[in-house]
Amino acid sequence: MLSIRNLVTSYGNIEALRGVSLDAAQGEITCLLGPNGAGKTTTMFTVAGIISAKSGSVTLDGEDMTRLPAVKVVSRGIALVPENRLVFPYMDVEENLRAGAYARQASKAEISDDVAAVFRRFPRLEERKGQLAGTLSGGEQQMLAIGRGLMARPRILLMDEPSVGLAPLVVEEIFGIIRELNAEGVTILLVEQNARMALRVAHKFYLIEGGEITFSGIPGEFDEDEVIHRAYLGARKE
Amino acid sequence: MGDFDFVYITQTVGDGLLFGSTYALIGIGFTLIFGAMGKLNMTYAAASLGGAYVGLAAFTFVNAPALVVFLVSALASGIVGFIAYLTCFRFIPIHNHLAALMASIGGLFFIDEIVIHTTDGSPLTFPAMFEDVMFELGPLGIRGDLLFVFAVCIAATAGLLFVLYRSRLGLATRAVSQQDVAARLCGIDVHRTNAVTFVLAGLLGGIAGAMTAAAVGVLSPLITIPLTVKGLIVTVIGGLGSIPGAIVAGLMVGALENVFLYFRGVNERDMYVLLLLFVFLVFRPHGIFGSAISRD
Ligand SMILES: Nc1ncnc2c1ncn2[C@@H]1O[C@H](COP(=O)(O)OP(=O)(O)OP(=O)(O)O)[C@@H](O)[C@H]1O
Ligand SMILES: [Mg+2]
Repeated sequence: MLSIRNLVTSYGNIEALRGVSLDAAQGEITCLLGPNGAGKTTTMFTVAGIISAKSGSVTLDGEDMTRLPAVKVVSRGIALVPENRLVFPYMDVEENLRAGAYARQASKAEISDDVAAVFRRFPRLEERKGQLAGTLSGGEQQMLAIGRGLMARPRILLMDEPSVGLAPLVVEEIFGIIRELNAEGVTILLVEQNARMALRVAHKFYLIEGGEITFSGIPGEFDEDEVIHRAYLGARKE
Repeated sequence: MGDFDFVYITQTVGDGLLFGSTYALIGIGFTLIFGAMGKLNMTYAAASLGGAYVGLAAFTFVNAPALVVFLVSALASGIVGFIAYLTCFRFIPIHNHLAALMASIGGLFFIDEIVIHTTDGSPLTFPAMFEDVMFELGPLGIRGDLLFVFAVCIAATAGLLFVLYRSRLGLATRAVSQQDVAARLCGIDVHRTNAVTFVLAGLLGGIAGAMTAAAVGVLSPLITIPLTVKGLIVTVIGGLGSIPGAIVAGLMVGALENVFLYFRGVNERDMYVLLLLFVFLVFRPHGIFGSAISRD
């Protein structure tokens, strides 16, 4: 479905991605693991069109998405739930959700239906629908960011470290949501540092270190501890 | 320089509040652009008066009625706002704040020079509305033209708030100003939204420029710098990026400036206004409406 080939992205002279290739299959959860600074967010931002690739390609169902600006990427079916949630702090919960549907050519009624659907999924958001997003708890902000991503009705949902900075119970809740979304058929590309949890929901994983994919596989087929060790510490396989 | 006369002071404060609505509009314009881009658009007050000059041209050459003059002022200033965006902001690297600031200061003087050269620098009469009307309120009098200025400024502010909080365009504007990366992820075009913000601010500025000129009765290049300074003071006192702050600060500066004028005379008036800014910078640096939720 989503196919990334030899993606190279740099910040000035620093090459953050040095030829990343990965595939996310329809209906699956694909997980991208790796230590700090490995290039996970850069991969997500490049796919989402926030930063522009130097070379390589991104295709979604065969359609070329490389170097499209973010505005076009989202309207063609890729939504990113960004690292650190990035909710609109001075908008209320409902407005945040409506902003998520900005790129869609949908009627008011359709969008209201989708807002209602997000509220059914996250009753805690409905209770706080008039509250400013900046005053929500971390877990609630994460739910809001996910809800905002869903409002775009994407073909694939990218999530960048949705569990970071959350209490263990809330992390469980977020992974529960990810599993549930997937069970409903949403294709997900998930970036995580919480490798143990991620490997539990992933159908396939990739390991990124120093801007390169160094390892990939199906969870169960490898020694979990080694994968986790590398994801945290970036110890390269000799 | 007056003695303490209660009726007179009330009158002074009242007039100042009414006239302060023009400062509020200018402050809102500065604050709107600061909110969107985190940058000061120094061309703003000059562009506002420039718009008013175009309105005045409509008055001078085709004898347009005052209402049309105001409308032309607003539209012209909106266009100048768009040009200022293209020339001073759009193509300057987003993180180079100083370059944008310097470019817009250049823009300020450029607009000012155009005005000076086309008018020979001399003040020109600007049409007003209801200048013959006077409402009596006991011992106080309310000037019809000032009341009209106030009403127009309130209406312009209400219109802006409506656009900001009730339209798709406004949603985009607020999204970009609060979290530009997330705005892009939602499919909002940041450049287009910023351009729209400049045009909206420009429209307001043109109204403010026209209302300032209508209240004073003349338009002169001598107003440019004072209006720029007042606008910035209002923006800072109100809290950078805060529209309610700009409204309150605009009215407050308008009223206090008149009080200073009454007690200390025209020569010292602006000194006290700047002192007021100083007091705010020391004791309340984030302005009246310093934000509760931190930015970024
Ligand atoms: N705006 C930037 N300018 C310059 N270098 C950057 C920028 N953003 C990221 N980098 C560099 O690119 C590399 C990859 O960063 P990236 O944010 O993609 O890592 P990450 O895997 O998401 O890390 P984390 O787990 O900490 O979120 C790092 O070396 C980082 O220092
Ligand atoms: Mg990251």
